[in-house]
Amino acid sequence: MQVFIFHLMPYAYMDLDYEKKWPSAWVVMPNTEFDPVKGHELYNRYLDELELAAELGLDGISVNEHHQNAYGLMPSPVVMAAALSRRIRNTAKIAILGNAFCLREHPLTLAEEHAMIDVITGGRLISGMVRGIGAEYHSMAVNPVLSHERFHEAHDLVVQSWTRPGPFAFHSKHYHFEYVNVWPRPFQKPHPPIWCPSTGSSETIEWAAHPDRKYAYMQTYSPVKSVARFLNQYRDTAEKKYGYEAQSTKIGWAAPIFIADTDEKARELARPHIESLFNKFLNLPFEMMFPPGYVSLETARRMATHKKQLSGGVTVDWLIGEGVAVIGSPDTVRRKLHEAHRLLGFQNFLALLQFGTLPRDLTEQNIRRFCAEVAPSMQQLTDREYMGFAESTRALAA
Amino acid sequence: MSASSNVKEEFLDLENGRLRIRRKGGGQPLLYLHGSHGMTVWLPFLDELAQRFEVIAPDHPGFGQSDASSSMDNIADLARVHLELLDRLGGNKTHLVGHCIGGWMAMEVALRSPLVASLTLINSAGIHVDAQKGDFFMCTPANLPKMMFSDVALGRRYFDEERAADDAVQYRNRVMAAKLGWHPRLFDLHLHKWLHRIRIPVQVLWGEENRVLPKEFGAGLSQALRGPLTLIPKAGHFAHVERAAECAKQVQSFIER
Repeated sequence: MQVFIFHLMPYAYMDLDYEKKWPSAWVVMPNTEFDPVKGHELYNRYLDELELAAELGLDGISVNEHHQNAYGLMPSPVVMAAALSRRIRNTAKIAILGNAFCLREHPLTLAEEHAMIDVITGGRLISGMVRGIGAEYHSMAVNPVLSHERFHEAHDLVVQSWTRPGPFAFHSKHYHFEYVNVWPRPFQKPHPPIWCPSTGSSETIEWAAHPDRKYAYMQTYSPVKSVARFLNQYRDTAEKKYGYEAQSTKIGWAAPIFIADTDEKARELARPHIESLFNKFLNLPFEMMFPPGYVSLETARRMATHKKQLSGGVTVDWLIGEGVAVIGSPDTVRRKLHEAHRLLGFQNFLALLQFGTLPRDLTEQNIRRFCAEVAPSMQQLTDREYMGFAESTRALAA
Repeated sequence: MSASSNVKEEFLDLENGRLRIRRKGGGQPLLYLHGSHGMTVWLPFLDELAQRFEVIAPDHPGFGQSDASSSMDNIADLARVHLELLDRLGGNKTHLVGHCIGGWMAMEVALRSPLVASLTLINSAGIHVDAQKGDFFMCTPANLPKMMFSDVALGRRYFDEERAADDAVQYRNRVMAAKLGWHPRLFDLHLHKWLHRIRIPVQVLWGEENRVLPKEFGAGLSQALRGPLTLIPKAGHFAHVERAAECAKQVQSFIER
């Protein structure tokens, strides 16, 4: 299994009582709340944390894109990937999970930047492709109704720009280029692996699993039951709809992890910080999260229920109980992750080792313990320890 | 806002799909183009107008009971469907009354058709003015009456009635409104520069307390179209719902002056 550290780079100094003034840490929280001096400290601290995890033997680091908010300070994950590209050991991978190519009027600039990082690192880039969350369609003034169309068109444009000899013309409904001729071409052949992180969308799963693509699907922020449902849906879609057997390397799980000496101690130490992530940083009113047309009416209704479970008053106990976060002693965390692997067989795991307000010292301890006491055994896991899809389906139905 | 009688419903098959229209009254034809929230429940404002005119109210493509063709990308596309509608209705001179994006559409129709006899814009979208707009896409359903109405209790009754009539249609209307007006937000930079080409009688009615499109937008339209601006007191973005009789009277006296 490949084990990555995943970072959101939150503005950890955010005023947690902001709700008296603004409904969310997204879109409408004034940027005067951001102190650049504190930001300077945070960026460098977070980069140190990623570098440390790579140094301690994880397979790679991952960063992601969010705009105009306190939840994640990486409007351009490419900047972070570039900053890390010559600092981490030269076998560690850099996963950008993801970039919202379709939020750009000009996705080719991102295609160029990804190709640059891939060439600089000698082919260690993983390109995540996402639509961006609903709030970003407010912040970046992109029409949410056109989100799916733009996503598919931007994907086609970018993949062609990486693989077709240029120059060639590209015309779709939203993107028009007379000369597509990206210099440099990416290092990896045919192009960097494409991963699709999502909180659970049937449409994304079907698209990613399509035989033309076979992109890896990463399930984020979900109760472990939902992780099971969606990861198995990927395998099921591959088998029943497309007639091939999905490889375990094509699925992954991303979850917050916190480790301390005992379960009790881990729970108490993590409590305020993990609760700040879900209750404060991730607090998005419905209209912000689901602008019209971003998802279908049915999905919006289903997600509203899911979101209600996840925001506005979740507790560390609920998060542990549902398996949204894996928190406990090294033994407990290892056991839970091994059990999940035995059931689901994912060959990629992304550990969110800093979350919300989790401070520098606790984050560093968490990274060190995860890398020393949990990750090595996970990296040994193969399909031999996986119960298999048929048995997994039976086990979950029971 | 009681259910109105004598409203006739029909469906027309046009090039881009089926269009639902409702009609009431008799006299000179008057085409009412609804706003971004659609019109599930027939309006008393139209009852008033129907006493003097033959009121024809289509659901725009993608709204209400009309088909949504994927080729409907912008307001001008929808306006062209209404050009086809005018032809199908017999090619008679027709008065246009448009609310919100319906007013925007009405301007696009008036720029393209010699059949338009007069134009009344009520709290109309379509142009950019340097004034703070209200973002109804960010507004919760609970806050919508406050954003849209001067009389919040009336606003609440209005939206409750619309939702009760058809909740799924509300979502459909919202998605189509976003498709047409999300970006740029409720205007087309290339419309404003041609508004001087509209040479028929034009008037602009505006809710004095409009928080979505404040009255500076009314002034901007009035100036560009060289037509009088009438402010409706104690009214917001839904002035024709809040002040139905007053707005209908303005339309009638303008046409019959």
